[in-house]
Amino acid sequence: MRLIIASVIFSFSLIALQTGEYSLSGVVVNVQTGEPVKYALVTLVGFQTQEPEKIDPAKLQPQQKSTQAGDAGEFRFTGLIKANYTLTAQKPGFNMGFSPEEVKSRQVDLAASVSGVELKLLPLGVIEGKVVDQNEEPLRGVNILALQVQINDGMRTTNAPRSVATDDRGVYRLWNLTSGRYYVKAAGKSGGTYRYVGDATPYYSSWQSFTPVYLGGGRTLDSATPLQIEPGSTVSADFHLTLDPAFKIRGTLANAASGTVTFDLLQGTEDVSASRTSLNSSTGRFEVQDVTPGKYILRATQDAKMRGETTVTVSESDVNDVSIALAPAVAVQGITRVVGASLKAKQMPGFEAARAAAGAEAEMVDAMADQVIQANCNVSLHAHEGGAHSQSVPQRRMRNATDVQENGSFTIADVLPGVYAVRIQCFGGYPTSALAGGVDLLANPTLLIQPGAPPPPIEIQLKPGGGTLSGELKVQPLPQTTGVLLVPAFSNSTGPLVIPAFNQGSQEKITFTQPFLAPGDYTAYALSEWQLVEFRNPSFLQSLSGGESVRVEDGKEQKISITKVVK
Amino acid sequence: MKIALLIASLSCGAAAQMFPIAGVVVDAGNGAPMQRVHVTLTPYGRASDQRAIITGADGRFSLEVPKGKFVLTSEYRGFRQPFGQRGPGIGFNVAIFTGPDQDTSNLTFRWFAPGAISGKVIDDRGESVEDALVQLIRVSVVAGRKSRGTVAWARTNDLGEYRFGQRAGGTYYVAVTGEPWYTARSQSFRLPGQPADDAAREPARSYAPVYYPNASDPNSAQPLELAAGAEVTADFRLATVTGVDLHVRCQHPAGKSALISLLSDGAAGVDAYQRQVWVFGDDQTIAGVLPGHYTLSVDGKNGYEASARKEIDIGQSDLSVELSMAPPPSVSGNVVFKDPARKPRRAAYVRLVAESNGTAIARSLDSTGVFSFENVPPGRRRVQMSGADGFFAAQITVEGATLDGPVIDVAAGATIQLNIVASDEIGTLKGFVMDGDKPAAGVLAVLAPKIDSKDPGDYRGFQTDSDGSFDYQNVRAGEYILFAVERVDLEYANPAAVRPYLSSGKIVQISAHATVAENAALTAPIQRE
Repeated sequence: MRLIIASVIFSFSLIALQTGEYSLSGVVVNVQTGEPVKYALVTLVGFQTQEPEKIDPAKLQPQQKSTQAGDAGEFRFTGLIKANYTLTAQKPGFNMGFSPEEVKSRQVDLAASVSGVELKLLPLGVIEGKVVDQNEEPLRGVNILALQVQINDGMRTTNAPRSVATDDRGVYRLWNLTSGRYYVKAAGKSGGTYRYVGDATPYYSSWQSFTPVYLGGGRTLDSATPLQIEPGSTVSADFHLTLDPAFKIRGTLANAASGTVTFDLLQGTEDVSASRTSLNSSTGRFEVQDVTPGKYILRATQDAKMRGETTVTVSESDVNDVSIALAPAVAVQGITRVVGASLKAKQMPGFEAARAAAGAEAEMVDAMADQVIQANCNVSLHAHEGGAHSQSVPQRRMRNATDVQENGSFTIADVLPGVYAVRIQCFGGYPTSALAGGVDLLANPTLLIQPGAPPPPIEIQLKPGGGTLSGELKVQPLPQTTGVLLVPAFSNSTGPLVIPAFNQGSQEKITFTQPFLAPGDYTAYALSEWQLVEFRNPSFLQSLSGGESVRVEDGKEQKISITKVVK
Repeated sequence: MKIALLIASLSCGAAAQMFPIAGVVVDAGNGAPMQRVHVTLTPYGRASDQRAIITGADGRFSLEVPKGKFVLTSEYRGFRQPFGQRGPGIGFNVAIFTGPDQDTSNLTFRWFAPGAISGKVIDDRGESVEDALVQLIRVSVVAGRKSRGTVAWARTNDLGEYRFGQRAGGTYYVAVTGEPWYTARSQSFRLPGQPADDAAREPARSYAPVYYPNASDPNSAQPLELAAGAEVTADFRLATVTGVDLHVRCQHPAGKSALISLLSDGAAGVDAYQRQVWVFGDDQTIAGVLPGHYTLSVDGKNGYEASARKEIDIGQSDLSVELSMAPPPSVSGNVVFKDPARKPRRAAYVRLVAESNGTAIARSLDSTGVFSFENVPPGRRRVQMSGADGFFAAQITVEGATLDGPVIDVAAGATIQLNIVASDEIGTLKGFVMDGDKPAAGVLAVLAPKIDSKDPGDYRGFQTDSDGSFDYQNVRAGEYILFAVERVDLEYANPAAVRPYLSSGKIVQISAHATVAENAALTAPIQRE
């Protein structure tokens, strides 16, 4: 047994595995089949139960032990002292669950020898399949992506945790997939950008290709058929692709210094893959292979610092003499100006009510009464590039304001040319205006960054205070997770927001409260599983009905009672 | 657009007589016609005028072209092959000449189907080994010399399976290395200043590399013969062994990433990776290393270009090795022209070709003849010139490195200055290989220097075109021996392999800026000892 000392960070919370009299044994099992998992690596970490200052660092001994389970999944640790222990098990193709119950099942408070501990491992899933063309001929070198969709702050993002290329039989296999919902995409031919010097283009002429498709034949994520991967399941996903005549886009890339250049070919919100491209380092001549007819945006990006793009229409022949000039990323400047005095906590609407509700803890509430609530805003830019990239690039790039100064000025660094959605989130007040040059970012939260030109600074007027909306949700049965979606009925706003609602032990109702709201009319909807809802998507908002109207006034607390969950 | 094409073909084609390029694509193994083969015909030197046809069930293709020289290639399921191969991967490219005295209407395009090598890697408990590194080495004749080089790497999947698909038939070696998954996950941590508790420490386990067919010693590796179109299975069983700890100490700037590679002599004399680990901090431990002779290298990654290299011997006890990272070698210099009145009109390049694997890097000359390479990977590199005007390096002098013929030894951290005298004292040799009184297509014509040369570039091979012709461009002026043989895989740049044929050849004098016409007679095969 190799004895291991954990890193110094943990040294004061971990015990010394001194030689003691107790043993801890058990078996590692596949939770799906109930069968033992052979040769899993079982690690035992001990946590001390005595006061940290009583530990003599000089006497610290190893605090972590590992052993490999046997061929019946059995493991055994001996010579342990009385302490709290945490067990973990690892094996390729499995992972551990992290629900509170699962974590708890791996913790042992050892006061006597313990046997029969069952360590549960969850088998991972597999997607495999075959890719053929319209003649049933296998297709080699097709990039297959497994995408997962996530909703963050009401916006959909996709990521491609895995990508693989088909082999000469057209066969692919994606393994070690955690359970969940996947979208599988045949995303173009595998390759990359090839930089070369000299006269010869490295890629040979390619004469046929396919338009990337999702499983089920859809060309967009919305029309794709998702696959549900259960623990330990192997799901088959075959593709029948249609090869069409393919053409090349040739041209010259200006300002391409040495560095990594990637080309993207975009169609609407989809990246249709410009995966096989070549670029001559000395002349800037480039060639994009395998382009099927259509209208595209061809975009070149160098090291996330330079970008250029142009529209290209490919019909029935190669397109030559396209020119793209890379322009550097710019810094977007801005300032948040607080108009009026910041509020003290006691000036917030609802403070008195909160104090009354605090009961015995009113003293604590009083202590905060004179605290000044610093009003400020965070600004972030979200690239308008939906769809799924052929490469494993996070497809929605977000940039947050950094370098926020005391006077409210901020900088968003390294913003590439393009169109961005502007998200303004304020605290301690609400914005009365947000302008970038002549553009009203509250009415139209879109910022266009022209190549090589920093946009006019973003100027936000922030009024401390605002209205408070508080309420209760009375529905039966009470949902597990709930959020109240608040959709402003006026355009001069920072958009819809969700107020998370918490069940504070009550069987009848869930309460929620949201301060710093801009005054105006809102519609409130109770949503279960609001984390999975694209509440920033206008078409989702249009699909909603049955909301409660509510008017929020500055400096006042508005109460609301909601009696149904709409989604 | 069709009308424009019609006018174009009328205007230049009124007098142009058309000739067929027609034939059938057949599987070289069984002679059966091949369908859905994409046959491409490219006028020599005019890639943009490429034409293509897809074969039907009868495997036939047929195109009408004017008189000229054409390059014919086939592609099937993404695998490409030039016309005129004499065996899987054997042959360069037989161009097709059309004209009134040429019969190009009944060509047989023999297709050598690629094969595949696949298998499963397990450990000594029968568990599949994921992420094992499988190395595929091919033995073949490249540019007239027998070469053994790594042609592909593969990683095993969760089932321990790997696959090298679409590989030309031929001779291969396969080697597998890997690390037990549990060693990486039970990495040891010790408190700073705490002595290692050696008594309690087990020696680290690792997998011993294996070579096809499951040999533990690279000298016992056997070649794997892959026939055209064959599927060969090569399964491996990795033995768990214990080894010593190799502590690698190399200081490098914080925040920079670098990769340590531990290499040993592998199968067929080709370096084999034993281990690759990222460097964290200044110290790195590679656990479970078996005794033997290794090359240890550290290479900066992601824009950090420094590197270090050291030969080490590992015995029965732990070893600490200190490496000092040196900035990447740079090679710069200038080219002067032997005849100042003759300079290249088109772009000219200096190339550095790795002796180990033939990869080349090139830089163009500026108007004053100056060139500069930054970040040249260390190793032995052949200095060459290239470009459309045929200039070659007639004389090379070097500072900052040793010179062996045209080969410089690029050491880590070196700053190398090259002075090259370039010359275009080159000539052309054209002719036909004659088999009796008939021209022989698809055979090898060899032009060897009369006096043995250490520079393989002085030896020239040409697979004759459809009319039996050969055409050597840009030949350095001098005395040569010309001969022709049936076997296209002759090591024509290996003086020892060429020697038996020299007596049957004819002496040819190549003069600068002149074209010589000479025919070569096809010699009978010679058995070599």
